[in-house]
Amino acid sequence: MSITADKVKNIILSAKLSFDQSKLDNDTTFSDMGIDSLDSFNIFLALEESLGIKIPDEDVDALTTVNDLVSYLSEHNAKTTA
Amino acid sequence: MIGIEATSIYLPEQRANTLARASEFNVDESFIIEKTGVTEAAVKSLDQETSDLCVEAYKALKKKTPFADDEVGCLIVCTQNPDGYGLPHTSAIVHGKLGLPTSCAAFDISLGCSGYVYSLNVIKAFMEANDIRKGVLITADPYSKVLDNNDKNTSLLFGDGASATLLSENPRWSLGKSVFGSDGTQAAGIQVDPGSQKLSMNGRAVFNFTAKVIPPVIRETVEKNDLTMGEVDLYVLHQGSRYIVNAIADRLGLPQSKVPFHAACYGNLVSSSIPAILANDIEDKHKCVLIAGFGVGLSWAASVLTKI
Repeated sequence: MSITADKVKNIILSAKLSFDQSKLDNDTTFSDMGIDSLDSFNIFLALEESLGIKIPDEDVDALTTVNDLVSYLSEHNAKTTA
Repeated sequence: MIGIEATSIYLPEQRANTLARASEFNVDESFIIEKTGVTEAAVKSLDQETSDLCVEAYKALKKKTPFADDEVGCLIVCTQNPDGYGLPHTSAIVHGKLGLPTSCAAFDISLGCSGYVYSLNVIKAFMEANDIRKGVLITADPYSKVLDNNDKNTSLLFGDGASATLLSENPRWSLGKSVFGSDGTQAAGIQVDPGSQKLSMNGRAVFNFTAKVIPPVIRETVEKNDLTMGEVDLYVLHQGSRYIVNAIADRLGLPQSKVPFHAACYGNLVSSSIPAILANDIEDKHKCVLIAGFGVGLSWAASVLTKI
């Protein structure tokens, strides 16, 4: 399964957060998009549920943009399918 | 049949203005208003013990529904922040302060946010098994005893308060079938840190738990009581935060009007959050009310109250 930025963005949008969705792009940090810590919990849960994976607490601080997530999830995917 | 005759809530007068502390934690006021939802937290005075809160809740109950102290056959206190070091049990101290008869059974139950629903089941079964006609369930978990005022995760959220519920043979509400559960593998998610002796909470773990576990538990409770989701007039959830209450409502496809958040002016009262709503916010049109508590343990319990 390939992880694309569009797929990650669709999952983020499915979490029904209250931020300005027009600001959703690949490189802007979630914080700069107006996504706070509680909304980010929702994003990580939506990713876990959609992709059937577990994102450990120790990894989440480094995942601050869509591109971060794409890289992380692709690496995770490679590890689990290797 | 033993059921709920009346419920009261006691909130200390003092309030901590959480909104005024937003900048201290580098968050917008909108985060507090829209997300945690707690703009003011009730705080007990330093010289008030847990048992004092219990006594005030009991007095409020008697004011609402007069009854004689010597009619009370059992007294349960649900708390995890007892007087002193928990020995003797707080219910014994409350029993003494109220001057209840020596024939009255008094014991504590150690549970957090799920405690009210568990304790209702325990006191009802205890009374029915032993032909006790009147019993009082008190919840009081003043987290100000263990809060770290520098911790954003907890210090903007919790409030102090106590509830008292009178159970008798003349109930206004019957208690339906309940659903219970625990996940002790996540016990550290909400705990008093053994080193600092202050409350710590893994916000993400607690959010994931509530969002994933509680909606199916609510659906199971509705089915177990031979109801449909639409037949429940009001869903009274533990008031963990506005965000959590709304997230559960969203996942259940319920409007927020049916799943209210009432804790804005007093905070997350732990095991007293559900009875606080039962005491003050139930309207005549609410004939069938689902109650669901979840948190410390991690632990959960849900049931249905039906107006008689």
